[in-house]
Amino acid sequence: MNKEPVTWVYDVLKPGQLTTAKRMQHIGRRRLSPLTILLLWVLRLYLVLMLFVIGYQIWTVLHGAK
Amino acid sequence: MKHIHDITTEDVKRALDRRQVHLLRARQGRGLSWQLLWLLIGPGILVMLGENDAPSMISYATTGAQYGIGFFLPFILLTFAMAFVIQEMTVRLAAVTHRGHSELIYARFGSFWGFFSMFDLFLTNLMTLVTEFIGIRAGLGFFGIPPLLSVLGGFMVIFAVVITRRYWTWERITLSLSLFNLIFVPVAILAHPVDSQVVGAFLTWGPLPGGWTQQTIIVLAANIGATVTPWMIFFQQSAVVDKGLTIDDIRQGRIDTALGALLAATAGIATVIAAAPLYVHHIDASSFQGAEFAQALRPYLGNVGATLFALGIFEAGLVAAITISSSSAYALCEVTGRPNSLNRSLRDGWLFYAALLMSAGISAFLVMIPNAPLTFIVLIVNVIAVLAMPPALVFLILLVNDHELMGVHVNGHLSNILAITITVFLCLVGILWALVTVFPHIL
Repeated sequence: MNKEPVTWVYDVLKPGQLTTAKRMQHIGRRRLSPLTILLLWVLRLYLVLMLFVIGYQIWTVLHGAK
Repeated sequence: MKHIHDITTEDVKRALDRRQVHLLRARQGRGLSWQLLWLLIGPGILVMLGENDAPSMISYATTGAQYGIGFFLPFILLTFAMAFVIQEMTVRLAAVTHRGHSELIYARFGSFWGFFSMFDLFLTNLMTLVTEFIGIRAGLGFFGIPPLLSVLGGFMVIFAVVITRRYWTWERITLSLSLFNLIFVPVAILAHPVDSQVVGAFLTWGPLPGGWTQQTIIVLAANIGATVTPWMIFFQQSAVVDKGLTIDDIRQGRIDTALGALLAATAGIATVIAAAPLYVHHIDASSFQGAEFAQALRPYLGNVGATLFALGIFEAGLVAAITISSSSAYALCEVTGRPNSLNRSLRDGWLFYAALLMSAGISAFLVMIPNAPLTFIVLIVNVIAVLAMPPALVFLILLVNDHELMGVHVNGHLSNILAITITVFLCLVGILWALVTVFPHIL
């Protein structure tokens, strides 16, 4: 888009709100503390368990439907 | 070196909205005014009234039919207070970082969690959308409108709202539609509840007919599930970014969220009261759907009450379909780094609009397929939603406590105590609900 007629946009929006600025400003990975790493592993374990629960439910429904 | 970035149409449209806020602030100072609030409200009301979707309203009606006026009235108020605590954090995150929830998870915790949150949300939303179209079909079915026409009509409304390619227009149209959620208030009045019974329920948190049984816990979990869900976190953060709220607007963002919670709680409580005559007359409503509730309530609420109830179910499904399909599109494009805004042109934001309309379209199509496993979808959607809930809440708390991102706007001690308590409570209830759904005899 042509920049000339819309320069007022710079005055209205915060620098971090401009779409091209957001694309250029890379947010880096967070340095994780041991507690956070443990928390993320618990979450992974939880996901595996819940996938089993969902799988079992699907199996039960399909089995019951026959 | 001030103007180094290109300006997109998305920036211009957002700046047009923001200029109104700037002009008003310049005239009135930084204080609170109704005009300023009018400009800045939106995402909070939308997310709360959007969560009062078709299955939620049916869940509230089932509660009213099974337990009458009592414990669940103040309990619904409590669940929306919890929803406020959670959603307020998304407002702050969005206003400070100007990034969506999926984008932040992807950037700060890596691609595994970024893609997981996106895929899980997309899948859950798709199945939830099916339940919304079932609500649309059931609500309009009460008036004799054929299923194909009602589902197609619902989809066309979503299409028409989205095609405006303007966040502000989309927001205002959806806000207007969402206020019809309060249609359940006149329905509750038509049920002629005893005032002292309603006031007594709030003061004493009772009665609770039958006491604490397995059924009570299931209804309790269903009511919590009707109030706090993962899509809300993703939707409100993305919508606040798209609206363009900044740190200066956090106060109004909080009021918006609190107002939304109050309105949604009012509609939820009204639905319990509206269905309470079924409890008084010992009518088993455990397997009722939207239209069946309206039919069953006709002898007690009259034609007007039954008609309004059916309209309310239709509206609940429609507004939720608009907001939930938007949250899917935001998440997909945030993770893949594609334009993600309702201010984008169709050409620039083709993936965003395609994802939004495709998710709504696929769900509408599924509802129309003869012998489609809709009961299975309704059953499993809650379990899959539970899968997404703990990661969504944990990442929300981690992000809102991230000093690099949030600076002075990180959670305070009290906010963290509240947020962690609510998160643990929601996760435990959610897991319990999922287990009871899968293993009905576990309790």
